[in-house]
Amino acid sequence: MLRPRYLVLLIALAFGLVGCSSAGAIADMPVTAESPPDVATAMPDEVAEISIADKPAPTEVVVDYCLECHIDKQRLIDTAKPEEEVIAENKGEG
Amino acid sequence: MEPWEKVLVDGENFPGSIHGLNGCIDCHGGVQSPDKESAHVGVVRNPSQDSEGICGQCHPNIVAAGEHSLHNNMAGYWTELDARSLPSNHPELEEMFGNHCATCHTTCGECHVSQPTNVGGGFIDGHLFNATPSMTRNCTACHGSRIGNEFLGKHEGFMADVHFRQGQMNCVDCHSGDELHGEPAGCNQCHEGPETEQVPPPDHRYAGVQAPRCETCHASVATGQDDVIFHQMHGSDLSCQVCHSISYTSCDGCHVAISEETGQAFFETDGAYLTFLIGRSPIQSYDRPYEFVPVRHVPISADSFEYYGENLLPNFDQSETWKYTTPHNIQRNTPQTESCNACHGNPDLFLTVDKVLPEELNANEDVIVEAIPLAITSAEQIP
Repeated sequence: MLRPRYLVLLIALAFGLVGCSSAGAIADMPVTAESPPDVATAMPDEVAEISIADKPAPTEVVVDYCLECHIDKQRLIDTAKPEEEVIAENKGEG
Repeated sequence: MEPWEKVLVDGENFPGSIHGLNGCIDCHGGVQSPDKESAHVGVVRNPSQDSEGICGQCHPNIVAAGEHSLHNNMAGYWTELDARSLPSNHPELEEMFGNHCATCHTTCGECHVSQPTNVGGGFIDGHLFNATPSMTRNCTACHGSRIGNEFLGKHEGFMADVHFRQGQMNCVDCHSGDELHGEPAGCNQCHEGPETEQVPPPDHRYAGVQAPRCETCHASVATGQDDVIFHQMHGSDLSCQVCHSISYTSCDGCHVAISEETGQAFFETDGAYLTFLIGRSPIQSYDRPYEFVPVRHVPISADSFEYYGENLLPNFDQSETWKYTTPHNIQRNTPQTESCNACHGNPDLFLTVDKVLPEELNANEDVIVEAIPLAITSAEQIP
């Protein structure tokens, strides 16, 4: 446990540091509030052209038509070629 | 399978799979187009037919070994055809082979992606690649009438193979990928040197080192260290199936032709029936030292290919028609294991001359059992 006199000195030092840090900030703050900017005049008269080259390239979506069809059961059913009935002519064990 | 089922891709799992990361066109060709007809111009339905160009890009070692795979090169068929014919018959036999036998040729995809083409094709699992083929939709789809029916117990009155029934094993538990890919019995797993190259590629299913073999798991049988006197006495005289197999399918005379009505290739067998007959091994060797083995009649006759020409098998008798066989219907207890005299003195179990067709006697002279083992009448007969 610190001796009382050292504790008092420490507290005083703390207050002093706080006072130093806020003094400048307070001094920098304007006393009176500035008027809000005029929105109409804030807009530029001409819109600057933006180069397409400066835009990030859009992500290219690659369509895999093979998979698109072959993972779609209904589409496979709808587009299936009519199956010709094959009559096996084999006789006996193969 | 319905037509749409055969080509429906698993949209959730396939695109992100290792094979799905390839574009469809990379393997199948065709054209990226929303129009079906345009998209299918130049499409290859079974790209693994070009195993070297497609699968070999990532699996070069497997594809290279596949040259020796019997599923790929169909060498077993030609071993038999060559034995029974002359070189001058080859043009006709090649035509016959292309129409009737070549359908058994199996591509990578027909084991790992789709059902075999000769049973209609179609994705097994939404185009996902299965490292382990399906027993029922791949293996026994082709190996069905004999192996499949026997293994799965589809013959009325006969149980399934104990390895399936109780062991819950399937084909690949014994028949490794190395074997099916054409690696010589997996020898290179230990022998990485040039000696592996000295193992000749198999020219039929029972060529070379016996793999798989029962003793791999049942080692005590091989060393005679179990308590079964039959094992100790018969050791390598009998193949395991002599005692542990039950009746299996034999077939007679297969004839092939092209239908005049439909233009389709077809076959017609003279008959199929269940048999259990023990014959003398026609391929006794260091790797298969058995004197007696089960034999199965295969669907061949001298006029099997007469549609393609006369007398195409002039050396028909040079190869037996009752073949060394390994029925896949193993049981611990069979009629043969009931007693010594279940076999000894029992002519019904042996391929005796009276059971062979007269026109096939010459072909089977090395297989026919002329003198069956005598019945055991006293303990003194047992060494």
